[in-house]
Amino acid sequence: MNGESLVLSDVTKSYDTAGRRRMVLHGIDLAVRPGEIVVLLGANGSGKSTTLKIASGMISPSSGEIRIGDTPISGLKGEMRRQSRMALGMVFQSPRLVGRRAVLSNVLCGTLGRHQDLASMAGILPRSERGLAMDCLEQVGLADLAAQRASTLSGGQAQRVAIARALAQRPAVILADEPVASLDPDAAEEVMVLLRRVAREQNLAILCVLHQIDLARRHATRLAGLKAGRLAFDLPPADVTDEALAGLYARETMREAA
Amino acid sequence: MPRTMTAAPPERARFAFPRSGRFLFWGGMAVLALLLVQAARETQVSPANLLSGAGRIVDIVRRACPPDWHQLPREWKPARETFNIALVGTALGALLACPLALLSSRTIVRHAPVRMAARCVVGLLRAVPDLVWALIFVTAVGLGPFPGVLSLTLHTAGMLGRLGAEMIEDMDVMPMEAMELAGANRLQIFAHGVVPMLAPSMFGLVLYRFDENLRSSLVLGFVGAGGLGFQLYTAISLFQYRTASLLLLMTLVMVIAVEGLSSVMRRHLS
Repeated sequence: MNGESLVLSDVTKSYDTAGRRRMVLHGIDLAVRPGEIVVLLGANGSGKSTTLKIASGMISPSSGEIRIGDTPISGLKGEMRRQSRMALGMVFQSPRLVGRRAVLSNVLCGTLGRHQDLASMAGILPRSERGLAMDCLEQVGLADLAAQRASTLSGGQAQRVAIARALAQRPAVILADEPVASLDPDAAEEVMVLLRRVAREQNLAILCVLHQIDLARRHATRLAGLKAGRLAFDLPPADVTDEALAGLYARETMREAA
Repeated sequence: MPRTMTAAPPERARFAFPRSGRFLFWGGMAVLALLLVQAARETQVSPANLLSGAGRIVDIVRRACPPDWHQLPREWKPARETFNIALVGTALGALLACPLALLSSRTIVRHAPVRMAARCVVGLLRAVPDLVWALIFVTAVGLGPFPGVLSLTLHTAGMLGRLGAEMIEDMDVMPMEAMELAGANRLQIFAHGVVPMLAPSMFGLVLYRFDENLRSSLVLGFVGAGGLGFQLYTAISLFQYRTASLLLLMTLVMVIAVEGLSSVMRRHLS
């Protein structure tokens, strides 16, 4: 499925709280093309995480459409939804690995969606999947730790294993929700360099939420600024002014969103 | 330069309640004291009786010494039986506890009636003491080790079912969410997420339970469920105190050995 764009068309999201309708997203239009990293920026409550959750299918939009290439993925149920999830690799703030299992076993979890037979439940997967998982570990530079227990890894290494697990899905798109939030600056830089490299080499579309503006400027293909649920800008980093960024984090943004 | 005023520290710090708290505290203490006094009277706690009976206790201890070592070869079989009752009862109980723990945990079962039914079964198994189960099974299947195994199985299933369900509800569900989002189905998530995360702690609990069951299986013998307990009951009933002291020593050695082994294994697991 590699080489297809993630497209969000006129996506809105509202919640009914105590009889009042609260709009969280107002008609978001965003496209992430293969090989691109689009970084979502914005203050807390601006709608970044909601956008990412809608793109991943964790929550449904109130209106609008999400597509990978020409295939709509919003509103799917059951088996169709499970299959669409294979095309979307997720990287979270914490690596979400099973600490007691080996690094390679954690990466193999990314391939489970392709195998629904009983053997896969016992951990018996085709040899080719093992090879793929090792390739993914090779790409993140951790092939030599394949047999090590995941709980023994450093934060940066664990996050790279999480990226390898997402790559093992053979996705078209990777969604990364603050993937460097719990890492030190060096590890954060490593993870962002890695994401940029896999986007380019594997022609993946990556949508990433970040709070570190300098990292976003250095590694993003485009910066998408969200302000109170509206897309304030969607530009290459060089075209985004400091004033535009400061505007995203101005105090009234928080009040409006609330 | 202006002098700074600092408050002198009190000579003795005193723990003090606010006025209303003080009344509640002393009131509560008085109620507790009254409860204790009435409970002691109801249960006929009497130091005088204890003192007058001390002579008889000393006499029993004297008659129990030294242990009758000649009986040792004859008592190996019941000792093995006690160990085996605990082993089989714990293993079967642990097996039965697995589905019960899964079905009664909110993390795995989202269908409330199923969860509530499983919790009711677990509650019943835990609420009835193993001794009562043993009495029921001795009546149902007759004297011997089998009713002991059955009673330990049910009680262990109840205890491990409850503890297992709590462990499942307390575990970190984020790796499982990540698998679900990657397209894994529920059985795969269970096999590759839940099992590896829970197995070591669950095995530790089973070892702890085995240690407890070994002690329980001794008491179960008193109601006819076989093992060393049955021998001990017979020896005391026939005033064979030297045999009884030998049986108690064998029990002590077995309990200490299993306790040590289980503690080492649990430490290794954690």
